[in-house]
Formats: sequence, C-alpha cells, structure tokens
Amino acid sequence: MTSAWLFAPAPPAPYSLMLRSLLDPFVYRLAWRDTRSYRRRLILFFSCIALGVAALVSIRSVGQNLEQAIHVQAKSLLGADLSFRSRSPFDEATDSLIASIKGEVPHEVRFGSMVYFPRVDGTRLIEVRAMSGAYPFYGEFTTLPPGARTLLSTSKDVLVDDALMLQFDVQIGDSLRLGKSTFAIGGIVRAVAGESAAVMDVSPRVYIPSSVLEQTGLTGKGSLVSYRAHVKLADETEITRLTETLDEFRETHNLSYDTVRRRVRRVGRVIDQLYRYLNLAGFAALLLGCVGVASAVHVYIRQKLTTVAVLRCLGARPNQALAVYIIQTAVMGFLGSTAGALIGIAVQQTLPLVLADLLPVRIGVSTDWTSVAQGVAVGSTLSILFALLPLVRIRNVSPLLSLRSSYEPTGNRLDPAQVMVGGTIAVLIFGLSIVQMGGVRLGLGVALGIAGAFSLLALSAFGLTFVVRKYFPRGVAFEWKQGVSNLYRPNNQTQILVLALGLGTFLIGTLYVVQHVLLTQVSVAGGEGRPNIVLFDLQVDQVESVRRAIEEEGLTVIHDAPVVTMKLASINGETVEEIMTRKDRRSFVYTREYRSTYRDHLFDLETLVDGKWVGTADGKGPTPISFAADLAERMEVTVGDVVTFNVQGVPIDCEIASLRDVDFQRIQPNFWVVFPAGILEDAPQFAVFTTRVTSTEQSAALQRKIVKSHPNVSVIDIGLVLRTVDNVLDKVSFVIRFMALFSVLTGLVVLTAAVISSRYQRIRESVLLRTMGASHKQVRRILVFEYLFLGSLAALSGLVLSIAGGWLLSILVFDAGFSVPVLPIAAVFLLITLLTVTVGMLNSRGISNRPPLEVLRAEY
Amino acid sequence: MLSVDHLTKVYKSGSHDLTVLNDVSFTVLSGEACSLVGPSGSGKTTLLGLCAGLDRLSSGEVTLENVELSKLNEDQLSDLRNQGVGFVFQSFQLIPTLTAQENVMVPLELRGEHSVGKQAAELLDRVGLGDRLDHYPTQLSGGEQQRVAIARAFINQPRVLFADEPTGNLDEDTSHTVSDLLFDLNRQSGTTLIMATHNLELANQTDRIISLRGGKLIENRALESREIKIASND
Repeated sequence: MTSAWLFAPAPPAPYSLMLRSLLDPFVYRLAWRDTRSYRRRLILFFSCIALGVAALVSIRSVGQNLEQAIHVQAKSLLGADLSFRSRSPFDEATDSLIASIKGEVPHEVRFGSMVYFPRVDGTRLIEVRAMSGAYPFYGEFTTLPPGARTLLSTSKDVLVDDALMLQFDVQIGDSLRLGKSTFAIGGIVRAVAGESAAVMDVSPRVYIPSSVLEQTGLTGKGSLVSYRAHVKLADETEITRLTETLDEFRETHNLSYDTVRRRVRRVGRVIDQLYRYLNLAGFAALLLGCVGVASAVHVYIRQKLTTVAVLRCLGARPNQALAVYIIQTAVMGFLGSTAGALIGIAVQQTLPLVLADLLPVRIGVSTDWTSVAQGVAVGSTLSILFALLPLVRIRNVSPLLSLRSSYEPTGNRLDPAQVMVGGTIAVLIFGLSIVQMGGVRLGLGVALGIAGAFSLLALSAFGLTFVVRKYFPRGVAFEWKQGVSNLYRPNNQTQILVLALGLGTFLIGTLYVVQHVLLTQVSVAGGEGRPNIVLFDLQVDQVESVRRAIEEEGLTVIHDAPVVTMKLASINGETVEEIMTRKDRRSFVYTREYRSTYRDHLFDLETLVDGKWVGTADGKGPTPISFAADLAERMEVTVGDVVTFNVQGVPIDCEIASLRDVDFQRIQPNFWVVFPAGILEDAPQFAVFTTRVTSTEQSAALQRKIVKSHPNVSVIDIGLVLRTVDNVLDKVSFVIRFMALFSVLTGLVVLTAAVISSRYQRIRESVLLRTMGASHKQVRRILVFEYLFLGSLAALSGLVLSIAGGWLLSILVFDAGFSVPVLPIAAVFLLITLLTVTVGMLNSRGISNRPPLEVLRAEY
Repeated sequence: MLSVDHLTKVYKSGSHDLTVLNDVSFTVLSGEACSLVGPSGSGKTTLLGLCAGLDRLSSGEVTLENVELSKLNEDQLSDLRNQGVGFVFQSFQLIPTLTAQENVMVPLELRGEHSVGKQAAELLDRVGLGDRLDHYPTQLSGGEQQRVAIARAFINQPRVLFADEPTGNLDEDTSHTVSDLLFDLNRQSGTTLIMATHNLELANQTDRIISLRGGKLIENRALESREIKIASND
C-alpha cells in the first residue's frame, strides 16, 4: 500500500516549478535569512557591475545631452543658414547668385599667415580671419571685453584667440604685425560656437576687419586663401530650394557650400565616433564586472553547497534551493546596478568637463532618466544571467553532500541549463552591442571584438601563468614559492583577475603605444638630417632674398621647389566634366586644384616605380610628366596616358612618362604631379623652401627675421607641430584614459571581491603555516608576493597585448615605424602592480594574526 | 517500512569501478530502531544515504513504505524527505545563517506551513534549549547544536529518522545526553530509526544491528532482549 505522504503527482513542467518556487514566500524569507553575515560580501560581489553601469549611464546621459545640445545649437555649428566657400575669389555668377538671396550676406576671407608680436618678439603661424558684418549670426562669439566683436566693424583693431594670447603672454592694447601692417589687439576671443578648443589649439586665429585685409598684402597671387560668404536667410524655408539650385551650380563654379543640416550631419558623425568609443569602453567595463560577478558567485556558491545539501535533505526541491539564490543575486544585482546608476549620475557631471575641449557644442548636464532606467535594467539582467552560470548547478547538488563533505558527483556532464544561460547571455550581449553601437554590423563586430580581446587576454594570462608555474626557480625562498603557488590554490580566481586588471592595462597601454607611434612619426619626419622648418608662399621675386636670409642665419636651404597651381582639364581626350557625369568616376582627384612643381631631378626619397624619368623638355609634343603612383591609381591612369592641365588659363598637353613612389609623411615639398624643367618657368608661381634648425632659439630667430623682411611668407616649425600634436593627443587620450579607468577600477573591485571571498581559505592557510612555525612577517610576505605576481601577471598580459595591438596599428593604420614607449609602459606596469598589492593587502588585514586555535576549532 | 533488496552501489573513478556496496539485502520494520555498524569505509554512510533516497543506486531495490525509491524523480524524493523523513548528521549541519528556532522551522516552512515558530520553540524547549531560540549555530556548543538538529529532525513528525554518527563529534558526557534524547523522542513518536555508527554502546541500544565490512553485509542481528519481532531477511 502506498502511504499518503509518499504520493507524488506527475511533476509539472520545470519552468512552472521554477515559477512556483519564485512565488513561494518562504523562499524569499529563506533567501533573506541566508544572506545574514554574507550581506556585505554579496554587496561587494555585485559592486563589480556598479562601475560598468555607472559608465553606461553617464555616457548614455551625456550622449542624450549631446544630441539635445546639437539639436538646440544646430545653427550655431555653422553660425549661418548657408555658407559658401571657394579657393579663389567668387566669380561674377557666384556674386550674382549670392546677391539674389534675400537676407544678410557678410563675407569672410581665411588664410594662413605668420603673426609677429613686437613687444615679446614672438612669431608663429596662425589662421587669419578677415570678417565683416554680423557673422556668426547664431551661437556665441565670446570676447573679452564683452562685445569686442563690434571692433571688427567699427575700428582697425584685431581680436586674438585666447590660446595665442597666453602662449605669447600678450595683452589687450599690445600690437601685432600681419603682413605689411601693424594692428592693435582690441580684444580676446574666448569661445566661438561650433569650434572646439582642440581645433583652436592646432590653428589659433587672429580676427581682422575685412576693411584692413588689402593693406596686409597677404592675399596676393599664389596665397592659399579661402573665400567665404555666410548667409542669414530672411525666409528659412528657402534653404531647400536653394540647395537644389546650388548642387548644379557648384559643379561649374569651383564652389562648395554648407548648410546647417549638412554641418549637423558631419559633426554628428564625428561625435558619434567618440560616443561609440565611450560606449564601448563602458560596455567592456560592464562585461568585465559581470565576469567578476560570475566568478565571485561561483566561489560564494561553493561555500553554500552544504547549506543547499542540508536543505535538500530537509525536503527542499532543487528548484526551491535554486530560487533562494536567484532571489539573492537578483536583489543584489539590482542594488549593484542602482548604486552604479547613482555613481553614473555623479560621473555625468564631470564627463562634459572631460569632453569640453573636444566638442564643438556646449553640453548641459541633465540626468536622462531613461538612460538611468536602461542602465539599471541592463546591469540587473546581465548580472543575474552571469550569476546564473554558476548558480544553475545548485539544482544538481546532491543531498548526500550533507553526509560526506568530500562527496563529488560523478561525471562532469555539460549542464543543458548552463548551455541555455550561456546562449542567452551571448544573444543578449550581441543584442546590446547592436543597440549600443547603433548598427548590426558594427554591433556584431564590437561584440566579437570584445570576445576576441577577452579571449586574447585570457590566452595571454594563461600563457604567462603557465610559464611562471613551469619555470619558476625552485631554489628561491619559501615565501616566493608559496606566493606563486597561492595563485593556483583550489577555487583560485587568478585567470579572472588577470583578465579584469589586464583589460584596463591593455586600454591604457595601447593608448601610450599609439601616442608614442604618432609622435615618433612626426618627430622622425623632422628627425636628424631632415628638414624641420618649411617656408611657403615665397613669391618669385622673394626667392633669392629669402635664401640669403636663411643663409645669413648659418642655415642651408635643403629643398627649393617652385609651385604652380593648375586644374585637370581632360584625360585621354575625355574632359573632366564628361568624366564627372559618370557616377563611378566622381572623385575629388579630377576636380581639385593641383599644386605642381617642375625640376630636372628626383628627390632623394622618391623612387621611380614605372616608366622613365624625364628631367627636361622643350615644349615640342606632349610634356612628359611624372605622377605620384597613389594619384595614378586613384585617377585610374598609367604611363603613356595623355592628360591636359589648365595652368591658369593655358592648356598644357602632357603624357604620363613615369610614376613615383612618394612618402607624403616626409617633411619635404611633396607633389602629386612633377613637370620637367623647361615648361612652367614662366607660369605664375610661388616657392616652398625647407631648412633645418638645431634649436628653438634658432627657429625663433629665423621666423622673426623672415616675418619682418618677408611678412607674406609663412613658416611652419615642425617642433611646434610636434608639440601641438602632443597637446591634442593628450586631450583625446585623457578621455580614453578616463574610460579605461572604469576597467581598472572594476578590476580592483573584482580583486577585492576575490580576496574577500577566499578570505577564510587564506586564514586557514595562514594558520596552518603559523602552526608549522611561520612568523606573521613571513605570512604577510607570502601575501605580498602573491599579489605582486598577480598584479605583474595582469599588467604584463595587458601590456603584451597593447604592444602587439600598437604594432599592428602602426603597420596597418598609421603606416609608421614602431617602437615601444619604454618609460610610460614601465610606469603603467608598476602602477597596476602596486595598486594590486595595495588593494590585496588592504583586504587581507587580519589574516596573518588570527589565533590558530580559534580557526582550527571553528566549525564552518 | 524499509526493504533493501540486492542493493549494489558502484562509483566510477576514472576508468575504474569502485564497488562500495555489494548485494546488500535486509528489512527494517515500522517502529524499529536499527543501527548500521562497521569499520571506516565499510559502506555505512553510503547505505544510509541510499536508504534515504539521497543518492541513486547502481542496482537492486530500496523500498520505503512500499514505494520503490528508484522510481521517484528528484522532486518526488524531496517531497518524501520533507513529509516523512528526518535527518541527524554527525557534524550537525545546521544552516549557519539561521537561528536555532529558524533552523528547526525550515522543514515545516518548506511544506508551505505558516506560523510554525511556536511549534519550533516548543520542540526546542523539549530538548532543553528553550532559552536559546535566537542563538546562531556558532553561538552554541556542539551538544547544543546537535540538540537543535534533533529538534529539526522531529519537527515534521517523520516516520523514519536517519542518523549518521549522531554522537561522533561529541564528548562522552554530551554523547549520552544526546543519545538519550534521540532515543526518547524516537520512542515517544514511534519513529523508525536507522542509524550509522561506530559506537557499539549506542548500537546496542537499538533493536537490530546490521554489520558491514568491505561493502558486504556480514551480520543482521536482532537484539532479542528488546522483544521486537524481527522480520526474516535473506
């Protein structure tokens, strides 16, 4: 006869059982009670995700604020409703077109020139902006004193960028010289809507009234000038009709134009890239935190196995036991994510400050509650799913474990539930990545990229730990050996810690390597024996006097190249206009203005890759010219093709006689098209010189001399370019480092969680060692060595990858020589190792001085 | 009540098979107190676990109250343990995060019963711990912890009580107190007791002694002085 208590109905479906367990009030009570004495530890485990959520929330909020700022400040990005620009003065047709538009149309002229500050005897290359009228119509044009902008219409005073004033320590009232004229500085320009501080650093501006442009004498023939006209439409709805007309008009009038919508799209694209990077860094930090959660929960659950077995003995169903821990992790995941969201809101206040120099718009700070809710939801869901990976095994805990602590279930079959959870995580990560990155391809790429980076780091960590374990010298002191072997203790979290700390190190390390590669590229370009000063805009009648001026300074002219501007007219009889009607051939290379040279020899770093170099020509038959191989490829022409150039009104038929390989990164006058001597000598032209100075003083002296005697000649100092590039890279890398910090901090939280979760194990080990005669000092030293190895392994793993990544980037992207920035890399290595040891030891306080008997007698 | 028929348990250890119990058969009647004795590694604990449905057998049959355990799934086994079985462990196995009273309440709460605090308090009072309701396991001595475990084992009025070396972790004086308590409660509630033990003095207080050696049953002896009718076994 079957007893009533043994009667069991047919079991319901597993999901319904799980649901029933999750609705059982007792399970909630037990979940709460079971957290006693573990609560702080659990909170710490789940704080692993807090930083990731903080990063996501702050970035998403800033993203929303940015979008809003661009929307609100759209017009200030351009400063007008419509802007025209041309490399030459507007032709009659363009002037008539502009005149036909109803509204205000102030003109502007921009060009590069040397500025000279007599009081401080300083000079540098700047951008001159000759302005009139009320442009910019929209957005700020902040000056000191306020309202100084009116000086451009009412006086001959000029306005100078803040950065330039600071660089030369000049004051309002001081004078500056531009070309042939000297002006008084009437005010300082603090900010201009639509322009970021980083751009202003690269090319500082001096604003002059349009009325004084002529007297500077800087816009002569051959100067590189941009002519602009800005329109404020009386009727804004006109813009659509106008742009339709303009698309056709611009093709034939060497004109380009910009509208607010176009500018917003372009700025949006750039900001999107930045936003995506920030998102990516935040996403990586969150995933890292989730891996930390899974690892910590894995250890937590191992400590709870006996409790689960006892519950099972007392009649708890597998799903009830699982539900207890699901509830705990869900609550903790929610709390961790909420804490993260709060940190995110705080961080959001600082992000705009970090980004301010890189953005062309001013962003406000308002909490975007949708982003906060999304961050909490994503953080909670991911943390629960990652926690479920180790948790689902609870269902398989045998009650027999309560009888035998050494009981291990036979077989190590793959749990289908774990596979299901793993699959769900993968789908969710891919989904999130697609949402975060705003596109399927990019999203999948990023998710695979992160998976790849994690795998490579794990592989690197595995390789390094393997090598250390296998080849660690046996003869060293016991503390060292024990420190190393602690990395392999049962339930160790070495791999996850190396991964977590390694990722942050990797991000920071890659940054240093890339920055170093770029700076080396610029400095090598102007390195030993290479020119480091470029003088351009030399008029024909100035060539000899400038050469003398250079030689008087004890310097030599290294390169001397005449420059003739021209446009392509036809290729093999087909006119550019005809070529441009074919969509597949529409390219800038056909319509751009070419600045070509003529000479009878190849430069030392040019190599002939096809055809025959012809140094001189007499004008009979097509002129044999040389094309840069890159240009020939883009233009789809080769040796033997016939091209016609329009040299300022004179058509010259040419035949491509040779193709040259040109290193455009070298500081020398590089040209796409080189004519032979004997053809262009009489064409309107200007010249470019290069020379080499050996000190900043020598550079300054030369610049002063040139600017005084030849004010229209511009001088580029590669040393200044190097400093400027360094400055801009510093600003960009600060943002990247700021985000990498989230990964490093997450790594340190994971480390704290790992140390605390293995605290009891460490105490027992310490007690056993002390029972056998080890001193407190020895036990502490063992711990220091353990963290030292851990930190250095993590830092090494990340740095090895970052060096490899930097090497690949230098070859594939920057096409530059590769070298390792030894000092910064060593500093990162030391910093990460030191942080690991410090955090590890802080969390290990008390481990070495627990009374042995207390621990040995304790029942856990 | 409990019938074990040609029970064999084999553990796989790598490529080797380790036979822990080999063709063991015996029967325990309702209300009987039975002890499983034998040296370490003889298979006592494994047999106890299999009889309680804590593990799956390799071959043979275990029937508890006419229900063949091998035919029940994990959830049905859980229900069985919750509704009719009690456990006392050598190392007490109290849940460290619960108070004494909460530990005792767990089996009833798992059934979905409410307001069981009073019942637990009464039972703790019966085992002499009425003043220790809110103490956590770490705040109790070994003997006190085992008394809480006994109270927890009896709270659901089990028909069968499985005890694994219940006095194994206790000193001699405390052992006597705990074993007396265990037998008293067992007799008062008419529970069938299956106990694995090294302690022959304790085993001699039961109605039947089953001796194991090397996984085989070598003796199944009913203690006649107890005047319990012993069922014949194979």
